Amino acid sequence: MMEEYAVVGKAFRSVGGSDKVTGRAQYLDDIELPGMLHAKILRSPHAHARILKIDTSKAAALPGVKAVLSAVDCPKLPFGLDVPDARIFAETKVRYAGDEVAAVAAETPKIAREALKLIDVRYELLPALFSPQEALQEGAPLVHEDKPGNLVKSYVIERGDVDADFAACDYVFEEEFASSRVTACYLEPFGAIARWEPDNRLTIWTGIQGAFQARSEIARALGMNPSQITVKVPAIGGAFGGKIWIRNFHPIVALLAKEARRPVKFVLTRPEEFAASRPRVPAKIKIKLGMLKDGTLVCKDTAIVADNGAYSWAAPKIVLNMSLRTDCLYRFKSVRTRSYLAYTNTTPTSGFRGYGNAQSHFAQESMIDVCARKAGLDPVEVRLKNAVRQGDLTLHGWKVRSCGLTECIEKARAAIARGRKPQADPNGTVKRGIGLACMNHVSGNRAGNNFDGSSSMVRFQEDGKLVLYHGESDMGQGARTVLAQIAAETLGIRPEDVLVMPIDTDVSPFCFGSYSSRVTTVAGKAAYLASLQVREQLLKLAATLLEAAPEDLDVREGRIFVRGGERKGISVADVCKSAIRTRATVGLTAYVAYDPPTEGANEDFYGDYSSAYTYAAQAVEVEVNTETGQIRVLRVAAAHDVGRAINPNGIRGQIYGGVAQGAGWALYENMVYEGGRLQNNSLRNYTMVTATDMPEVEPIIVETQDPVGPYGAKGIGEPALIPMPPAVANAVEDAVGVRIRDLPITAEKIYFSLNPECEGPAS
Amino acid sequence: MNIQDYLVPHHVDECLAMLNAWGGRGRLVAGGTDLVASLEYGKAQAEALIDISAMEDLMGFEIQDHELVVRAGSTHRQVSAAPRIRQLWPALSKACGSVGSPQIRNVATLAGNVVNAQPAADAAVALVALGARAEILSSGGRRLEAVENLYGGLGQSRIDSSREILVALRVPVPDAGEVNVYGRVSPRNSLCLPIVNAALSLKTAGGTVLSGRIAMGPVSDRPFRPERAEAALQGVALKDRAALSEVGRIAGEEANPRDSCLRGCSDYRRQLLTVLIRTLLEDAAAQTAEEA
Repeated sequence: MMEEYAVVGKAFRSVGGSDKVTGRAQYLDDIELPGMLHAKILRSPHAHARILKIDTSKAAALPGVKAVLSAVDCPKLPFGLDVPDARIFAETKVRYAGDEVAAVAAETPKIAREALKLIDVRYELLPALFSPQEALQEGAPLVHEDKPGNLVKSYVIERGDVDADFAACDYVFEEEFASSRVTACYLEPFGAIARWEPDNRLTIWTGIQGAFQARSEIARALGMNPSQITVKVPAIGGAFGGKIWIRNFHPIVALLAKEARRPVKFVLTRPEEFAASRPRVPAKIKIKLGMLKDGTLVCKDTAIVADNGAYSWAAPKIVLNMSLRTDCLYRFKSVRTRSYLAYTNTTPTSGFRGYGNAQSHFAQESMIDVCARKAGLDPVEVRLKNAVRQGDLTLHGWKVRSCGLTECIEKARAAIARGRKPQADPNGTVKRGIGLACMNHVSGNRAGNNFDGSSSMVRFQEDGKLVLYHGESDMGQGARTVLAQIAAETLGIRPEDVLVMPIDTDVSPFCFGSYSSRVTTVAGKAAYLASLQVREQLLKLAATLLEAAPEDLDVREGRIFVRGGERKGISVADVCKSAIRTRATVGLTAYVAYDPPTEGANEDFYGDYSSAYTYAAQAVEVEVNTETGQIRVLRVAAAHDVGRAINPNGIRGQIYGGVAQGAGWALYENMVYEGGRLQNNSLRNYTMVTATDMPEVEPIIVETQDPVGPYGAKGIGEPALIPMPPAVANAVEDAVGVRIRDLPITAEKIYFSLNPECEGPAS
Repeated sequence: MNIQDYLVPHHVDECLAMLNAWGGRGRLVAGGTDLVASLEYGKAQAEALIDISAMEDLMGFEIQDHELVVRAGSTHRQVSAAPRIRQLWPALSKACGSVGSPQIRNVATLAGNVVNAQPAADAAVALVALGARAEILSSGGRRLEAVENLYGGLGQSRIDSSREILVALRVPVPDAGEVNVYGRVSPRNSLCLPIVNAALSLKTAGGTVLSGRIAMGPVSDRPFRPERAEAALQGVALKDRAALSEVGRIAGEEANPRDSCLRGCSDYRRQLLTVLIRTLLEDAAAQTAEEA
């Protein structure tokens, strides 16, 4: 039996929710500063071209224009992540259609837009590379002259003796899968406002997921110290991993503001969001899988070729995740992965919900079904037989402290079996099938020996209200709500009495940011530990006031009382008033920097790098029209091991959202390029799921009480998306017997697979 | 966008006077759902916008002299929600209900759907199948034109909305035994342009098709009428599934959809038309059977 809590696990109104639905929340574009200018960026129309000349004089002369910048006006300091190859503006050449060439700040957005037309750029076209396969060919043109072979990064990871194990398998199957280029397409376009302060400090307002990471990256691009910069985070209208890292516009607005000596705002337009954001890393994944007749999964050999785009952001780390994580979903005896990440003349790819793990799950979870079917086995039984379990040490060194994978599979399978529709309609054109896919993920992910925790500062006010400072952005996922609940639970006060502060890097404690599904687990733990310290201070003072021993006291619903003698007590507010307003001088404040008990992976990528691994199984029922190939996802049963649900409504919200985004990717989302130019750069023709396309979703919360997470909690942010594409692919095969190996699973692909005599489009 | 003036006339004469005053540099706007985006992206030009949505003589619709008269101010929502239209012209009602989103349908007008001259325009496809005519007013006088004759190339209307006003669309009232149907195939359920769409209007007697009109989009630079499929419809028994399939097959063959990286390759879209036309004929058969 799990302990019942007063606040944890209970339905609670989302912090900031009413401000959003009533329009009071302040997003970046709602911020107007006195004297503020508006920026626009001139982007390359070409995928690959040498810059012969940039003449900005006419633009600078346009009335209302206050600053015009191109590469010659800016520091030439490389920035980026593992492979820092980005510059503020393209210098000698442009490397993708969308590359930043120049920027203007003007009195109005319209003037800025007009000024862009007056910038004269001469290009000499260069041969362009649109796929990593082309880019890795010998003699291919180079995207970066100092990056031979266009190779950004490669990994070889091997555990056990894969070749010997294949030789001993009853079956060895091989298949190739491909995932499409998709964009996070959050509701609020990304942007920033920059203002220089009198002491040569810089303030940046930006709705970013990792404020402190942003501060250090902006500092690096500008050649400043991080502490000279303040990053403030307004309300964020969705991010999904697409707003973890800075973009070129961050240093650009700072430099425009400096040049113009006025604050400058820049917000991406929707077409820019499509053409120049950071889409999911597309990858071709070839899997060879060895199994025994009884369904035991033995060994796996994987080859990955992935598209980095023109500049390197998170793709190296994403390909590493892609190369490792699914190996730990089942009890493989041996695995080997060879991965290659190549530069191309396309939009730089980076983080998006799943961070590489979604691509490899599409491949592996499709593969499990393919193999099980070929071996005449039930794919769900094969999963159950091989699922990792609590207490396992996986072949990459993960310590599985809590694991509800088996329970998730069983519950999802049972839920989808209930109320199934007929497998075929009487007229024979509509067929239905079910499919299931599993997933594992992390709650935080330590890199090397770096900090991977979170910090929290809590402080009581004189009226008994609590202020909680943290540094993990709430981009709509509910971080503030969960933190308020954890603090309230720990301190015995109402969550409404906790004020979760907005992020300001001058005030907020150091944190890495909202990614890796880590906030509930690590920031929640920091808030828990800080609250625990303040609780001790609170009870100690209360004991003096009540003339009782601190260990005999408890606190509930804002009242401190002697256990067993409930009538003798004092309100939290009264104790706070005594602490602060009298000569008691108790701080009622705590600052905790928490680092989870994990080890970053070693140079061979072995290590227990997350304190809480998460597990899920999602089952779907689909309907396929055999004449047209059209698919409808009818129902989804999504079972997630969340350790312990802090905010069950928040978890359900994440599941609905993950299903929507995952179904969109599974069925239609795909950035289509012709000659390096994006053909669907608007919401009109980039097809996402709408409310009317949503299947019926049954969220199933599985609780395994993680030993490390706060109150046993683990992450849920990314997991709900990950199993959707393979679950849909598996259900389609169940319905009509065709296997689609490349995303998205469009009606057209199904039609041509069902009618192999018809010639499909050249792919 | 470089709009110098935004004018709101209250009756047709005033509106024509304004168009004349701007001498071809003004342009009519009703819902503006396409025009404003086109102006913003530089795909359309105008120096003045003349907003017809406050003109009472262009409001509403009614049945008069064996015709449905839909005046130019009528929105997709008004047309799709009208019970009488849903009953007599289900093809038009359904087509209007398929366009965009509720927000778009609340302001976008049926007349705009025609003047915008897009081959995929759902309502226009239905109007062509229904044999609708457009009533056009200019300083030169009044003229009536079949909707299908208003196309002058992709996105080019023969109605010059810098000089003339489409005041109403006139749709004949179906006779006894006449049925009409509309359908579309799109990747998702709403807020989506069709991969293909089609509308049919059939004259039937005793379960047999006497004649029929078929309009399909977007397979040409205008709502497209497959002549051979229409000819093949004559004399077909609605119970004869094989014959209905054959009409669908011919219609698919006659269509010439482009290969599109977003909408699908030509062969696939042809297949969709084949299935869509047959399905719509089956719907029509079910309707006539109900009425009989």
